[in-house]
Amino acid sequence: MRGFAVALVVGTTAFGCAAPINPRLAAYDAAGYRYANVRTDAAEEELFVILAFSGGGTRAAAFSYGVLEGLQSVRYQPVTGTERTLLDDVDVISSVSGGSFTAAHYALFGTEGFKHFEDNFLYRNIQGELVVRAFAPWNWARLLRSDVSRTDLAADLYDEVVFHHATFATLLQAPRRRPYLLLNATDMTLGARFEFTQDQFDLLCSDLSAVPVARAVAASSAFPVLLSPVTLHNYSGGHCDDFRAPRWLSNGLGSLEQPRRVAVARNLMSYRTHVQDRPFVHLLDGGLSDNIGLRGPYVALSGQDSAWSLFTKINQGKVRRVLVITANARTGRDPDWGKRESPPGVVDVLGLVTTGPMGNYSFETVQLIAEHFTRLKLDLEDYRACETLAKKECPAFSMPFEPPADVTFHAVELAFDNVTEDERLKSCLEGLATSFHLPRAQVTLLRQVAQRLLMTSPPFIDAMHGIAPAWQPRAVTIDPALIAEACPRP
Amino acid sequence: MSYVVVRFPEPRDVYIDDEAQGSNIAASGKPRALFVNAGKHTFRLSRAENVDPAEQTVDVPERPILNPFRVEFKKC
Repeated sequence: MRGFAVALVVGTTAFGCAAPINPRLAAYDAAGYRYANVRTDAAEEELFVILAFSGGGTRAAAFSYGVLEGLQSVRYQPVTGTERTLLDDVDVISSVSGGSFTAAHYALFGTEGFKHFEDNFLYRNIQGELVVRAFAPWNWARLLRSDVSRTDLAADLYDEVVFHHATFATLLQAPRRRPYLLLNATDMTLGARFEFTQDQFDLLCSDLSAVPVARAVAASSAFPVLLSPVTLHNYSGGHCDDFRAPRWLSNGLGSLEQPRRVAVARNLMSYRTHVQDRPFVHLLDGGLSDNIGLRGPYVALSGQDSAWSLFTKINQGKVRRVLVITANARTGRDPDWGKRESPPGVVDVLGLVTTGPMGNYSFETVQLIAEHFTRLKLDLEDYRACETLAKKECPAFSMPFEPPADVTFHAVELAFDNVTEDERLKSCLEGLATSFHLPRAQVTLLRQVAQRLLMTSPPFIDAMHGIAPAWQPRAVTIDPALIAEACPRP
Repeated sequence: MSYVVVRFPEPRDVYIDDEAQGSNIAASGKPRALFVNAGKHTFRLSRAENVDPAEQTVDVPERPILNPFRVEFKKC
């Protein structure tokens, strides 16, 4: 026993104090992981494609991976230039939790990394390996330290086997045409979305470049209770006094008639104004504040309050068409709760309070974006109708101003709800576990379902016909034998 | 959200919160409406040496496309 205690002390001492995962920023400048440093070619933005990947463990990762595969199979001939795939056109991927694995891996390694991702994440028993690491004697000493947690062990595993020690600086070295990656976590203190971008890290006076991508993915997928929060240092104050808030942020604080703008700006500025009370930022699963990864894109789509504002790009005349595709791996709730007199158990209640409200919030975000697009379209139709009507009465009439650029918007949501032709398949998908290990057949099924939903989605087909009128969706059939294997009858 | 027309007698690039938004005047020669989210924003124009004021921060109200909010700059 004495030997074990000594070993613990020696082990703990040998490991020493862990360096913070987010180093202090040397100086404020325009460098770092920002949209403008990733998507440098404005010509690529005419068709602006945003993907949003939801949470849901390996289920969400496989489903969103199927969407990437589906987009890769969409080949078309643009008006100018050579044939390309729709995957080449993706500008931004915003993700939470399980979807963050797919998003980050694609942003780092592109389609060349697809096979590696299948072998080292999708079809791998990550959950089993996490458990083995947590109980491994050589990790006991580490876990006794106050600055090492279960999520650190998870991040180490992701770093070694999935992301190969890549950092956000590595993301900046990725070849052009890679999307801008928004990995979203939840700040526990604020209960608000926290994104891994240099714009957000500026507020902490911290340099994102040296942070391993695996750490951000671990924060984005740190499901409450099962995994512990990821902690960042907030260095703002002190030598970071040269920080100058972006104008949209300081103006947001003063927009008292717009409570949503004020709330977002206050949350962001609180990293600086409350630094004495909050030298640390604790991050949990991004699904707690936005289970679909759409809040960041919504802010960019609906105003100037973003480092990659779509309003700004539309006003500049750079963007002519916007396509938002959401891969939502949401599952159903146990329909038997209402049939039993005994109340749901602790596990059911925990599942509900950690994901239920966010499921409703996610639905609202999808609706917000759809309604926003509808309003922009109706506004332009109002302008044209008014002009036509006035010209009918007075042919010499001319509108006193031109409308903003005519942009076409498409919102595509891919979810298990859309599986309508096969009730058994739908029921099976909605019953899949949230875990970092699924049977091989279920992973393959999710990939195929995502591709089929994409190819049969009316809004997606409509968008493609606008992009390339000659394009036809390819038939995606789901092998009945695969369904039988993945969804055994009870 | 809102629509804003920035009035100035010559074509100039409009900056909202320090971000360039394109010209205030369309190819047709008419003023051009811009997409803006409602609330406080700072407007300025390119080549500001003969523009009055050099910049202005205004509270943009929600406005429909047929009645855009106007931000006026004068040539001096």
